[in-house]
Amino acid sequence: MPTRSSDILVIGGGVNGLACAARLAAKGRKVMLLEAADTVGGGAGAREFAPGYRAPALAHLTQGLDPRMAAGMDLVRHGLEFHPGLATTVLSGGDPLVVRGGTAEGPDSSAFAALHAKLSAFARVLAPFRQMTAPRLGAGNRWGGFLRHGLGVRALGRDDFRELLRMILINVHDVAEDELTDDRLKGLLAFDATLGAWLGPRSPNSLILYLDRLARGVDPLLPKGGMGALAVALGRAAEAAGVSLRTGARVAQVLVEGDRACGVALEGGEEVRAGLVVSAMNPRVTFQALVGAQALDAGFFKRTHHIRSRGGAAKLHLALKGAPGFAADLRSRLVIAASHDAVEAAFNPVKYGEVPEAPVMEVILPSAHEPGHAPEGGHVISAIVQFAPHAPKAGAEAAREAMLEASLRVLEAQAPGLRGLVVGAEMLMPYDIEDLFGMVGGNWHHGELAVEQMLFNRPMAEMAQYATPVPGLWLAGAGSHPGGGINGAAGWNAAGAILEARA
Amino acid sequence: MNDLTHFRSPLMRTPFHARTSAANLLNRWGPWGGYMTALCFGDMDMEYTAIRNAASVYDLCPMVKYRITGPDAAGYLNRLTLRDVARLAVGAVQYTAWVDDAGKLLDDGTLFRHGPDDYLICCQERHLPWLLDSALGFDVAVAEVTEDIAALSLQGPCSASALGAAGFDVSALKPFRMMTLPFQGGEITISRTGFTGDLGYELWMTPEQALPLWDHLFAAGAPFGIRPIGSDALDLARIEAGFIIAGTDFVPAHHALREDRPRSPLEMGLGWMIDWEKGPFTGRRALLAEKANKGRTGCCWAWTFRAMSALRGRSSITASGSKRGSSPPPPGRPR
Repeated sequence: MPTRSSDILVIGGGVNGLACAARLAAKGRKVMLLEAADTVGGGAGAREFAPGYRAPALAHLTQGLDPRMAAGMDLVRHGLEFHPGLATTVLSGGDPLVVRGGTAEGPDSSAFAALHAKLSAFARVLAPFRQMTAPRLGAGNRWGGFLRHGLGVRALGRDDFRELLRMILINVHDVAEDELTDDRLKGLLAFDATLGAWLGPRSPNSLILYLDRLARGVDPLLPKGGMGALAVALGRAAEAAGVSLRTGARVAQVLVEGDRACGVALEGGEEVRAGLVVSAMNPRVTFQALVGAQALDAGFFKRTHHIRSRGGAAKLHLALKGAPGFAADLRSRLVIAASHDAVEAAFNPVKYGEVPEAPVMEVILPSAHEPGHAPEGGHVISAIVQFAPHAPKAGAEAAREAMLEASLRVLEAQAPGLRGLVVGAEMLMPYDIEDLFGMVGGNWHHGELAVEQMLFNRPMAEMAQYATPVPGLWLAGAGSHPGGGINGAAGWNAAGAILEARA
Repeated sequence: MNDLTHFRSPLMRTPFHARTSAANLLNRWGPWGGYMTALCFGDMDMEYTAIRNAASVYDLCPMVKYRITGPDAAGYLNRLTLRDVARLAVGAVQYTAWVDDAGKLLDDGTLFRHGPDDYLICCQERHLPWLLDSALGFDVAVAEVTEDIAALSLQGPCSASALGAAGFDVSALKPFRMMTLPFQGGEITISRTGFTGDLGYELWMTPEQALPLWDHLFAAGAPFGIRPIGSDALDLARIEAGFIIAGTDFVPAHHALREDRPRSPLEMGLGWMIDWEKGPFTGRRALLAEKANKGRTGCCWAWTFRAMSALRGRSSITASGSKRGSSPPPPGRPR
């Protein structure tokens, strides 16, 4: 006998699902959240990949949580604390270079400060757009907010506004060439812009991703206790807001009756009914696997297949029996990218389904910040390695091995003797990430974050305002505006849209 | 067509061409769906009269045909078309239409159910990309079979008698039903369908059976005044019957260049065929919204008819002789 257990069902207990559910519950809606895994957190979870070694399952830093979510869910009260913002150490062939915010060592110190100040000013006026429902062509806009934010951009003044228009769609490689001379800084800029994207530094529009990153926050943050602790705090806060969390509940189907989403069927056959269904899942998964073609118009269903979702980031976990010999503070964020060209060179092979010889990567050692991640004396390396093919020509196994070998080679060059310390290794390729986290193509934004899939085109024009063509079905995941990155804005915005629609 | 000489004969010939060309005294041909098709064999008035008073034969081969097979075929067609396919029995035929997401007509046509999971769509326009897009998520096979099936339309009050004289007993065949009958060691399918509003049948066969069947039918039908007819005469009859043609009476949404050109089934007087209760189908939400808004329903039917006739050179209405581009007179019977 199907039961109507809540007003609103939220599918997917990642950051955005939790944010959405908590905001709805805090407004008095009866909300149940269904998560397939045994714990909530999604991409922000933790993972024991070798006996005694725990690594962040996928994301290992946040560039900043949505401040509305952090305050609205009172995450501090629920145990969330961050380590001080991480400095970045760029490792390349030459001397390491330490960067913190806009402050960099080396010959480009003032040039980088000026560039950082300029881009930060752009990011600051663009950031408010992240916190609103994307505008649409046609009726139904809240023009007030849009105009206010637009005036904010214009208030940059004529020269800066002109400069923003010149730069907003430019590629980051050109910016690096124009503004900097130090290859290490150029490499860092190029790396940070393309982290998690299916773009090389020379790809059109790559700078806008750097602006988006700055709009989320200046310095990367590591939660105390690891990313798992963030997941725990989000889960607790959601429960405190009144969300009923149900883990181990994998949704097999969104039920549509009388042209309205009315609940879900779980794997195993149980039906859970609700007045509204909110999917914080990947939009392609939502429509192709959960809703299905029958309930959707043919043209719309076809277009869901065109949501581009190629993932180029692999995740490397290494269990080390001792401290690696990086020429850097192990508590900093290590970026191994010799130059902007090195980033581009690492992107080239994946376009053809091949593994790069010298991948670029972002490395953190959670074990350097606090105990509990590795046995006494041991260390954990968590690295995002780019770029990895999502459909390798050589086959899944061979590509994973080649990627691990190439990554170890790159790491060994920066920390001689590192190989001898490795007691366990795990390489999650984009296809592994797809299997583990339901991210189509292994793209961790649940749809490529690129200028043509932003704002009113995210994930598709018909549902850029979180409502879908199926009445009663809403989207709330990273696949919607403004994207992912352990931030929560998409889920928080979606809840706002649902409340506003009194749906 | 791998020898790259297709441009030498831009219009294909139907399997009946040997007979239709021999009978075409005026040598009046027009293009239809990539085929040469007779507009008039000799006397349009006599051809029209055969439809209404005797037996007429129209070469139906250029009609576009798609075969839909597979376990999800019924579900697929229910989502594709406006009517309830679940109500279509094996051996039955449905006049139906399909629209895009915006609820604008793509085409109308007839849907034949040959078996539990075996359907044939006959229509005016080519739709393979749309049919394939619509097949995403369904376990069906969609095949274009236009060239694999030859067809004749036998229409007129004497058509059943002519068939009977040819050895095809169709006396038990009800409208919108079909049956399979033996013919010279093989089989042909006869459906009680047509495009004239008169008693009539459509005969479906392989291209190899085409000429023997033509000869057989004309020999047996001679006492009933059987006669080949061209598109001009058929157009008169179908306008009298109120039947519409995609591309003539409405612009299929995929062909429209102006955004106000596509027409919804509600605007085209086809609202009766929409089964709102059968479950989701492509365009349902848009059509519901149109119905709720009343839209432009009602006023466009006549307007479209006239505007189309003025704009389109091959409009049927101008067949009665008026200058194209002027306001056309209503279709008239032969004097």
